[in-house]
Amino acid sequence: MSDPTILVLASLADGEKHGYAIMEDIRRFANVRLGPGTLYGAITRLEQRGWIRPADSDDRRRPYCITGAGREYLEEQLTSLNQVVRTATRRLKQACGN
Amino acid sequence: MRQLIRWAVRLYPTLWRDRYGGELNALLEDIQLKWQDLFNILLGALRMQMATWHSLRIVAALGLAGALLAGVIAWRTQEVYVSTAVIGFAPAVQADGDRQAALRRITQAMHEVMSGRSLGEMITRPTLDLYPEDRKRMPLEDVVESMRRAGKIVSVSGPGGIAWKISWSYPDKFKAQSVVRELVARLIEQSVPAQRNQGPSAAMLFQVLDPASLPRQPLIPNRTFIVTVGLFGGAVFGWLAVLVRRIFSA
Repeated sequence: MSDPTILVLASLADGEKHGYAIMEDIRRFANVRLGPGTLYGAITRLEQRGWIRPADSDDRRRPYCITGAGREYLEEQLTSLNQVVRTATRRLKQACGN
Repeated sequence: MRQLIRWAVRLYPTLWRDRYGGELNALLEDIQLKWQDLFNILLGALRMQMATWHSLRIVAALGLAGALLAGVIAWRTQEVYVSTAVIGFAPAVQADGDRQAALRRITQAMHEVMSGRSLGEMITRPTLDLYPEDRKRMPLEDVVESMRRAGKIVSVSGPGGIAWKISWSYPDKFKAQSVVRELVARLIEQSVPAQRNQGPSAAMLFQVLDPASLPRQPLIPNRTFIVTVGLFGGAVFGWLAVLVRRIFSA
């Protein structure tokens, strides 16, 4: 799982965060270090699609939060991913049984 | 490196920087920077530029980049010049029998002139000094083979019914001309002595119809062609990039 879009949405799923916090969070939960260019590329795309929005702040380190549409998209992606994980796990177990 | 990365951030589109530049700079102050971050920022800037550019601008920019790249390749490619000469029957050769005999002799002479001994002598002759770099790294037999591949003797139609076009290619146009001149001289020389003992009718069998030319333009690289291909190749690549951008932004 290295799609920066999903990783950023997953990071914002539990509350608003600014760039550095998102980067650190992703590094902790996915063991992936997003480069600053990659992170802000993802943030730009997500904001354009209306899946995240900037929270009210005067700080340069502007926090972002996930929108309803973003949450919906993330849930769809996770359902699809879960399906893949379940299928792959089942098949691996079957293969080990043979 | 921090300064370099800050400079790289300026490569993002102005509108993008107005919106996200402050945040990105704040992030860069917070993290421990690595070299890969510089490339990451550069790639991000390129992507963002591509995303904001008008389609025609992308096609034009990549077309220009393709032309520039092709130009560098074209100018770094070694030039190859081709010198040619044409020899035919001398007007004195009239009888069919004489022509048949002459044809046989020139065929033999061609083999003789293009033999390893003959070409090897030309390659190592100090006044010609051909393929000096190749001779340092490969045996003479291989250099002779290269020279043989660079030369061509073909029959063409001439005033006496048939003529022979001798051509040879080399990076030095003066040497190309000298070698063709030498090949022509040898071809005639090799044909005539064999027949001198057989009667006075063909004292001179051949004449030079076109002397060895001094090529003005190299045969390769055709720089105009290469740059044109680069331009169109780049433009096609740009057009594909525009398509990909449309697919991903849909």
